[in-house]
Amino acid sequence: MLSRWRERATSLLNDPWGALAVARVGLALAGLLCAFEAHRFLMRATDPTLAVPTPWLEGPVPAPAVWALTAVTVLAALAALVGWRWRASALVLAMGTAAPMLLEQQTYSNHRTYLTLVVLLLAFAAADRRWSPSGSARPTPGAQWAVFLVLSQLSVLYLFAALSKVQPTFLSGAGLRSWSRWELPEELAMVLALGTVVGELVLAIGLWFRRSRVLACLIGFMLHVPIVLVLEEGTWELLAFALSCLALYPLHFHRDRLLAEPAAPA
Amino acid sequence: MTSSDPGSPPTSAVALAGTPLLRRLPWWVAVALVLQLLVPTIALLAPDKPNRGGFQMYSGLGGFALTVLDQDGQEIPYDDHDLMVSARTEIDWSQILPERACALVPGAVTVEFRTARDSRTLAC
Repeated sequence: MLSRWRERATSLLNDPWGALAVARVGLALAGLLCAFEAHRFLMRATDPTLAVPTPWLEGPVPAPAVWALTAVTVLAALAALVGWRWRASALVLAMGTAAPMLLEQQTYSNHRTYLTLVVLLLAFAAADRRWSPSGSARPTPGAQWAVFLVLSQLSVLYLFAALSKVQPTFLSGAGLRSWSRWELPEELAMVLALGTVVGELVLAIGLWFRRSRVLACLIGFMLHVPIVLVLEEGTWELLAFALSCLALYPLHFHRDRLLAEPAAPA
Repeated sequence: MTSSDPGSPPTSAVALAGTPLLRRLPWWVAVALVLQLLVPTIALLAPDKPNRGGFQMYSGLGGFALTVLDQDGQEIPYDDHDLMVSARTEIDWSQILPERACALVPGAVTVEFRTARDSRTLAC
């Protein structure tokens, strides 16, 4: 039993299409969590006294529309999870992830924006060659560049997350102390704030180079897992964010192959 | 992965992979890449951070404070969740929250809204 799992893990590590399937599953799970989170926000925002509709809407989104949006998004996320009609399900999932932000200003989040973009891009990659009942979709011309843009989007996310934190407010550690579910000593919060900025910068660049890739992955885990555990609010959304980032790391280990040969036989 | 790895791509693909990445970028990928960088750069350089599209999450920028006072000038405690769904700092709350607090917090007579840059006081 154990040897079978080890065999599977080894074959997954050596398989570019397995890495794409990991990305697909991670993003689909993140999409599922985001759909539930958006539903909770949008249902509260059906109350006109709490809503802040986007400029092109006259009032809050009606509850039946929220339920419909959630149902469509959840179904798309489940279809993407199992790889059923991958491209269509991913495109619907991306729309379902973006829609709350187009309806209600309070549902905006950088995590949701990032998830929308990477799901949209990964829709054009052959992420359904493994762990999928329908097998492989017909290779799309330029599919390898979709993978490249997914990876560049991840780096852009880390880069600008780091750059926006290079200012006294964040580096003082005051933010981390106020967001933490536990009391953090001032000095520790300052060290963690600085470590966060350095870690995000290393992630933005380090994943692209063979020598620093493993270290960058370790830093990524050390960044995302504590964020989920330590921050007091938004746990599910932060878990979705962690999934949507970490699930893309294996793609970097197979980047040369994935960028070189989009139409390789499954 | 090297070309000697099992299951490695054919020689032509390896050669393609060996060429500098930037030299073989199709124009539409280059445009997408520029957009990926341009939008958050504009958001980073624009005032009133945090800005949408900038990936400026948990930067600690853009906080605000709302104080609700009764007729004696005493502070009235209130629950954020009674006034908003989510305290997103990308939203300009200065023209929304004071009015809401006046309408929804019982006994509110004066509302003070403050950010790092400015403040607004509203008599209910």
